[in-house]
Formats: sequence, structure tokens, C-alpha cells
Amino acid sequence: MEKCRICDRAVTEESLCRYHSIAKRNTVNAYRLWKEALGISWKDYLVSLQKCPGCGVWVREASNHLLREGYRYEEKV
Amino acid sequence: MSIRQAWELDLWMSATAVRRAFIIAEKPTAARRIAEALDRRGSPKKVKGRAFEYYVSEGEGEEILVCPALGHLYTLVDLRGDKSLCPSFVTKWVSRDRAERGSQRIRAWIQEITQLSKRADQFINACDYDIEGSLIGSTILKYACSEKDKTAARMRFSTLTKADILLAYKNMASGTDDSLVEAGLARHEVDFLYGINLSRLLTTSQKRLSGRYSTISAGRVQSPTLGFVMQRDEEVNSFVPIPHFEIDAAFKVGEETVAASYQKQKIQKLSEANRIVSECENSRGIVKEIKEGTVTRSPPYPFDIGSLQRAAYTLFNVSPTRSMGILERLYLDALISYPRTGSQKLPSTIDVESKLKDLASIPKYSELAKELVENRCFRPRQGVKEDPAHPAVYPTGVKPDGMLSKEEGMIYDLIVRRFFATLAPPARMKSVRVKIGVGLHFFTMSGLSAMEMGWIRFYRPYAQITERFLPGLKLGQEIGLVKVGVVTRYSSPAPAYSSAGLLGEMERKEIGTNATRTGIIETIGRRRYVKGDPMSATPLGWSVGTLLERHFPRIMSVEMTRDLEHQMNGIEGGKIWRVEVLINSTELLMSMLDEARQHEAAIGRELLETTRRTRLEEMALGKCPICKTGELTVLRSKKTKKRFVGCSNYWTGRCRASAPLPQRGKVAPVGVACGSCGWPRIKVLSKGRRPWMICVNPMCPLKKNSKIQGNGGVIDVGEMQDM
Repeated sequence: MEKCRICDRAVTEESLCRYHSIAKRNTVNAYRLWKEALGISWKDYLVSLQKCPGCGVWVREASNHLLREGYRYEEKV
Repeated sequence: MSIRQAWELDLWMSATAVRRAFIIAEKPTAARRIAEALDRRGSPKKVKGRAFEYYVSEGEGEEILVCPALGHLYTLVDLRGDKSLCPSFVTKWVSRDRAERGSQRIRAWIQEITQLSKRADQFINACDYDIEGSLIGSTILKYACSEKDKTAARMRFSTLTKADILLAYKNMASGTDDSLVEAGLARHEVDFLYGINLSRLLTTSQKRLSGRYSTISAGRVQSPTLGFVMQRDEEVNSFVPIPHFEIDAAFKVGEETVAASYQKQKIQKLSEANRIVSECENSRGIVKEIKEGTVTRSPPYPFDIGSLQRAAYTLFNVSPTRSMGILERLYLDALISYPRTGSQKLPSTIDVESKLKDLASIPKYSELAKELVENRCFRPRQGVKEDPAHPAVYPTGVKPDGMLSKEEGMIYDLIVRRFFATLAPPARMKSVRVKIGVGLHFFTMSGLSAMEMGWIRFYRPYAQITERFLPGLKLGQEIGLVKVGVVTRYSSPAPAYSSAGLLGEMERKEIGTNATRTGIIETIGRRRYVKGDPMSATPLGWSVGTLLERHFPRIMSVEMTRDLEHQMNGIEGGKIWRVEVLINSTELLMSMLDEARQHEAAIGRELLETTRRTRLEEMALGKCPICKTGELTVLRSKKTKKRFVGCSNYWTGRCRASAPLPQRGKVAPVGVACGSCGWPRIKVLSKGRRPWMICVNPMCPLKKNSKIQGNGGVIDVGEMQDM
């Protein structure tokens, strides 16, 4: 069984488990609103999420994973 | 019952040529209250039996024997007895001592009831008037009293006051409440079949693979309830806060500084917020508009059980399980009406005036109660929800004997003041909104002051008006803007469910009953599927819930549970037969089991992985402060069998950190690293002792004098073996 790159759960899509996939999707989707609001870069956004109050645990883990992996937002749009 | 007591009873029964009535009450306290109410002198004869105390009351030309039950004395079992048999659909009602460990006293209890009921002429079920109460009385009358359930009469009351009991005795209906009993039987049978079959399938599928037995439970109401917690957890854990901006402003009016809000509450872009601030800075405001109005706040509805439990949680932090216990005691003390009600209405048959007059004798409520009587406020505000069996919760007017605990006192006070509030007039407030122009922008100041406090005065301290007074302003007046700035705010997720919030969600989604919801929440906590309050699903809860969603999607579905609830409510209303509901639910269950059987091996594998991971997670104490990547875990020495802490990176040869542990008691991680050395702190739980918190590092500077010094805390890592 292939394990999630972030936790121990089984992979459902793109090397992540169901929950971290949802968190990653939400993270990527919310960037447009953050960019509009604050005009910040993708990397700064991911760093900001780490300290942002109310940010979900899986989102923090997913954004940390995206940072480490060097995931580039623009390429995916 | 001793021989002498049996002889005395026999003598009493044969000596009296009067009618002999036998009443079964749900609890010992209820039996005492019923006996006292029905005895002509108010002091029934108390007889100490072998298993319990019962009462003999002297009525008008009759002797009444009042016997207590102890809640359910009978329960369902699988007729075939084999606990690994799945599917199993043959059930039987047996006395609880035959089904549950530690219920031996039930046997003596039932034997005594059987003995006492032998000479009675009339049988009466006086258990609580609801599904569970009717079923408790009916099963006792059927199995312990030679099938007297069909001929017994039914007493229906909503309070344990003398007046209500006498009225219920006088007007008791002949024949038990068949529809309630049938609904109760169906509910128990359906829940039992779902519970044992699903749990057995899960447990055996895992046991087949591992050879180990560990109970994994699922249930008709329990599983969707776990689903609610998981769903909310998912929302919270995958929530990305979105920033927005607010303009924080204040004006100087005379000597006062008054806060004002910008015309647009949420501004999406920081650049726009900054532009507004820069355009307003160093400007003065002009009063453009003053609007005054009246706000009316209606009194609250009377309490149904759900709203009462939620209020107790919000105001006193008393969990629904605890508040249910407290309400039960207040009811048995005849201080309040029956609490497990879904009604928010107080019918006109309740003599509100006499209740108020009785409450006026309690010094604390005297003034408020007298005021309501003087103003003839006897018509309560009625709520929306109805319950055909009982009215909303209200105080009976019986004076508490001063023995109430702190929590009992608080909840009783809440009920009394809520009762007053429902009778009181609405509250009226004056609102003022002042619009201030600053260049092209507008700000608003708002004020609120009480004109008539109405019901709020009666419901204090549980309700209050926060008054905001604005200084006198005139149209066109110029005022100074003393502060204007941007505040960044973030959207926040829906909060995790508190036990009271989860109770509300179950009510909204119509799963479970007033009597069972609290127990279900307790069960998912006891099964370690959820933890904390506010609640979150544990790793075990997540794993079991995810597995159920995948292989038994219908058991997790609210629709299926609600549909079955509606069918069972239909039995109560006489719209559908119990057998029909049983057939429908059994067919549904069988189809679920058939589907799941095709994936039994996969279910077993997943569960095995789940329990293994849960065990590891339970043993994990925290990050290793030495290698910074491994996890410190509770391990056991192969040689000495003693437990100790070791790093998970030991097996890869990257870290050799280890430390000894106390050998007695249960060890649980605290989740916080030691402030001095960074090693994890643990909680040691021993029976009969207070929990004990320590840092696992024996060399921690904070515990130089600790007893756990050993050989410097270093264990021969060669001995390490996974538990």
C-alpha cells in the first residue's frame, strides 16, 4: 500500500491521502483570494499559512509539504 | 425476602379482604414518592426486602404495593449465544443478569418482584411515561409478573408531586400503552441487530487475519454521530482562512471617544482599505443622519430537553451527560417536571398561578414570583416543538430541601428563571444609529438602551442587555476623527462540536431520541472514537469511520438512520406495525452485510492496520529531542520485560536516545514538551492516586532530586523490542 507523503494513510491521489489531497486543493484554490487581498507571492502565502490563526492542521501540513517540494503555483494554473 | 417478611406479607394479604394493587415504578425514589402520594396518611409502610425496599400504601378501600425497578431489568440477547455468529437475527428478552457481567443483583430483584406480585388483584405500570419507561414496566409485568402486561393499567404523570400522582392514579388508563411498548421493542430490537451484526463483522474480519480479538463497534445511530464529528473535523482541518480588512475608527464627541464602524464592514483588498484610511486621515466628520427606533425582544420559549442541556453547557459548562443526571435527580425530587421532553409548550392545564405562589415561598424567587402573580402573567410564551407525552420542563413549585448540590442548584435556578421569563412581557429597547460623513466615506455609530427590561429582568443573570450610550449629537455637527486604521481579520471555520453542539446536530438531523442521544455521545467517547470537548475524532475514530464510509456507506448515512427513526415513530403513532419495521430494517441490514462480506478480507486488513497504528500512536510520546526526526515511543525490554522510552530511529541506527519509565500505572502523553530540556512530558495514572506529571528525561535539570535516576536513564538499547 502506497503511503501518503505527509502521513501514514493510504494514497488516493498525487501521492497524498484523501485528507491531505483536500487540504492541498483548498490551499491552492485559496491562493487567488490571498493574492487579491494582500498581493503576496505563492511562497510568502505558504509561509503565512503556517502562522495564520484558524488555519487547519492538514492545510498547515500540506502547505509545508508544498514548500518543501518546491511546488510552483503558476505552472499548475 | 426473608421467611419472616414473606410470612408477614402473606398474612397481610390474606388478612385484608380489600383490593390489592401492585404498582411498578421505574426507580426506588419514584416508588417512594408514588407510595407517599397514594397513602392516606402520607406515610406508607416501608418494607426492607431481600433485594430492595418496597412500600405498602393504604388507599381508599385498597392496599397498594409499590415496587421499584432499577431501570431496565430485561435486555435482548442473541438466542444462539455464539458471539462470533454473523449474521444473527434471532433475539430474545432475558433478565439482565443473564446478559451482562456484574448484574447479579438483578436476579434477586426480579425474584422479589415475582414473589410480591403473586397475590395482587390489579397491576399498574407507573414508570416514566415515554418509550423507555413503558418498555421497562411492560417487560417486568410480562416476564416477572406472569404476563400481566396486557391487563395492567397505566399511570401517566409529568411530575412526581402528590397532586399529579393522585390525578394519574384516579384517571389511569386501563391497558398498557401498546404503541409505546411496540415502538420501544422495535427500537431495541433494530438497534441490537445492527449493533451486534456490524460489530461482529468488523471484529471477526480482523480476528481472522490477526488471531487477536479486539472489539470494533458500529451502530445505527452511533456511526452517523461519529460521522458528524469527522465531517466537522474535516472542515476544520482542511480550512484555509481568507483575509479581509476592516476600518477601525473613533470620533471625539466632547470629552468622549466613540468607536464607529465603516459603511462597508468587510473590505476584500488591503490596497482598498489603505486608500480609505489615507482619504479619511486628518479629516473631520459631519453628522449626516440620526435614526432612532424601538427594538422588541420576545421572551424565550419554555425549555425542551435539548435546549435545556445546551443552555446548561453554555452557561455552566455542564456536559449533556452530567446535566441529564442532574435533571433526573431534580425530577425524582419532584422539583421539576419530566425532563426528557421534546416539547416547548406549557399547556393551559398546568396551574401556573399556583406554581408561582408556591415559588413565592422561596425567598430567592419571592419578589419575581409575586410580581408575576400581581400582574396576572399566567400565559407563557409557547414554543414550536411539541411532544404528545409531556409538556416543556417547568418547576413544580415544591420547595428544595436545601440539599441540592452546587450544579443541581444552578440548573434548578435556570429552570425557575426560564419559567418566569416565559411568562414575563417582552423587552423593549431604544436604538440609535448615527451616520457620519468623512469626505466621500461614511461611518456609523450605534447605541442601545433599555426602555423596558421585560423578561430579561426575570431571566437574570442568564440574559442581559449590553447597553451602549451615545453622547448627544445634532444633525450637521462637526466631530473630530481621532483614530482610523486598517485591521486584518481572517475568516474562521465552523467550531468543532461541543457535546451540547453535537446533541443539537443529532436533534436537527432527527437521529436518536431525547432519551438516547446523550448516551450515544457518551458511547463514542467510551469507544475512544472521539476525544475532548469540543470534540475531535481520534485516529481510531477516523480509521473506523473511514472504513465504514467505504464499506458500509449506508450505516454512515443520516438519511437511512432518519428513515428508520420515522418508521419507529410511525409505530408510536399507530401508522405502521412493528413487524413491518423489523422486516424492513433486517432486509436493509442483510443487504449491507452481503455487500461488506465481499470485501471482508480488505476490511480485516484495514482494521488490522488501524489498530496497529492506533496502538503505535497511543505509545508515541512526542518528538525525539536528540535526533529531532524520530518519535519517542513506549517500548518494553525483551530481557527484563520492563517498559522504557526509546526513539523510533533506533532501528535505522540513527538515534540511541532512551529513558526509563515508572513501571506502575498507565502512561499517557501530555502533548507538551518539557520547558527545561525539551523531552516529552507524560502523565502517570495509577488507581487511587492523583495523576502524576513528569518529564521523561532522567537528566532533566528540573528534577535533580527525582527518584527516577537509575543508571543515568540509559538502557541497553540492544534489549529494545517493539511492544
